[in-house]
Amino acid sequence: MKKIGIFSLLWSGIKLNFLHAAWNFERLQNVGFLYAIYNLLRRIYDKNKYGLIGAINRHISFFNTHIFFASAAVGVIAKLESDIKEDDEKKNAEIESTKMGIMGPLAAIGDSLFWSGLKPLALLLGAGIIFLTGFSMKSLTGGVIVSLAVYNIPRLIIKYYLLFKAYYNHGDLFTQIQKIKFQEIMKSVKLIGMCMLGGIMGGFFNVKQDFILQNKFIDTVLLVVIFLLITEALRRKTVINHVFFAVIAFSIILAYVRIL
Amino acid sequence: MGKLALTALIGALLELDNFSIGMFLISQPIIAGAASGFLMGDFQTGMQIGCMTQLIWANTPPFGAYVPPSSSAIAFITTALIVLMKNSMPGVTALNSIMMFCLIGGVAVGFFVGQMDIWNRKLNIRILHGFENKVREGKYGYICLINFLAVMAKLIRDFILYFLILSSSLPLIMRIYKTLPNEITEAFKISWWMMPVIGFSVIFDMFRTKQGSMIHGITLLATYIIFSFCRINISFFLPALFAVIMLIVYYTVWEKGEEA
Repeated sequence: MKKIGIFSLLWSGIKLNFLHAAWNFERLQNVGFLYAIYNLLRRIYDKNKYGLIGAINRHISFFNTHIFFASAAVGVIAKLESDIKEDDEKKNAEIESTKMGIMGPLAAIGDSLFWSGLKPLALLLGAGIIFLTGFSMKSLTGGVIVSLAVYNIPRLIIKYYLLFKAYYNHGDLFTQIQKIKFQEIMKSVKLIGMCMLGGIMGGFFNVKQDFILQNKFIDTVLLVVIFLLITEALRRKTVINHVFFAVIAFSIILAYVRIL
Repeated sequence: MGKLALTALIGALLELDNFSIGMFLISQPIIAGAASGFLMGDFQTGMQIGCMTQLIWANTPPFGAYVPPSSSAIAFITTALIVLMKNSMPGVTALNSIMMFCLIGGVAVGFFVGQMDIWNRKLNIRILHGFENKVREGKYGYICLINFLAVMAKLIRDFILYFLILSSSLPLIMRIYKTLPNEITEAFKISWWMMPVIGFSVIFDMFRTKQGSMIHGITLLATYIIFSFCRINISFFLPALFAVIMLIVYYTVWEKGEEA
């Protein structure tokens, strides 16, 4: 067995960017996972071709987790693979059960932290900066840099921290993850988002140029009322696409009855 | 035609970041819209459309096997269609109506790109089955080949769709638009006026908490009043708002947690 060094792990982390490349409805991210872990397996099994084939056959099965938290699975599985002895059925089963056991929790944390937290916050900041500063190259650059930084810096830190921690200290990994105050982090992200949204909306209603009514204040009040109505519709689980088309239908009625 | 082909290719490449490769956020509408605008020769329209679609379709995360409509495709195609229409109708004044009309077309394309993603994922099963035996024999090259074919299939499909729309849809959409009754174009103007508010509602719904809603209301009112009297200086406003948010988050989430 060759030693797995920092660069091998880094290379695996880079290859994890292709986790979704061959995503399929049958075994989901299996090809991406195998692609990412292959260079580690190659080092672990070195000249043991049958061991490598055995590992490949283990990992071409089902795999599905959050793309940025998959690094933890790669690290843990690589460590377990390096500890395995040939024809050790018990270890084989342990690898399978570990893999199946960690996918769900990692996906749950990743989905709530990134898809419901950091991503919308990053995009709100980007769009907000552009809305408030006008549509120029300077504002686009500012908005895009802020968006990409807010989203990608935590993503890179989490991804590589989990990868290294999972490989070098996998026994301690889940204790460490349990110590992270995800609830507090999510609450903070939501509060930051709400406060930013309030600020951006206040600014937007002042700088906007398109008015339906001649009076800016009444125009703004009307928009706030519409905002509250749509918010209430979304609270009642109305799908956004339905809201979009309902707004168009409502506008058509308004145009025909000539209210606005 | 060369410019349209290049635009379609860039659009298809950006679309890869949406799910297949990396998910770095560079495919998101604020960037996709601006890129489309830049390539088609109207950068500002691209930014405007990008910001709008970004917020409206912010809550469509790729959870598990769920395939949402592509917000990047919506921004990219909407921008391109607007520029094409504007170029064919010099001196046109009803820009907001045109933008809304093209946005409806863009939404249809976004849904279709989502549907094509489902087809791609089904195709990926066949690609996987085609080379699975070779992979099971330990041939690494075939893992790379599966990834490559899956990515190329998506790239080619998206490119063909974008190119067909950009190169051949203009006569049809011009004909449809010109035959619309005045009330409908007026309705599009009203819908366009409401669009940013839909986006704000979506973000509000994503971050909604009782405490957050109160903070949002206070911030909205405070910024609206402040900016009614003084001009927005974004380089001062955003850091100041951020500092206030940090204090609120610290005292309401973290200090409370420590006390508990």
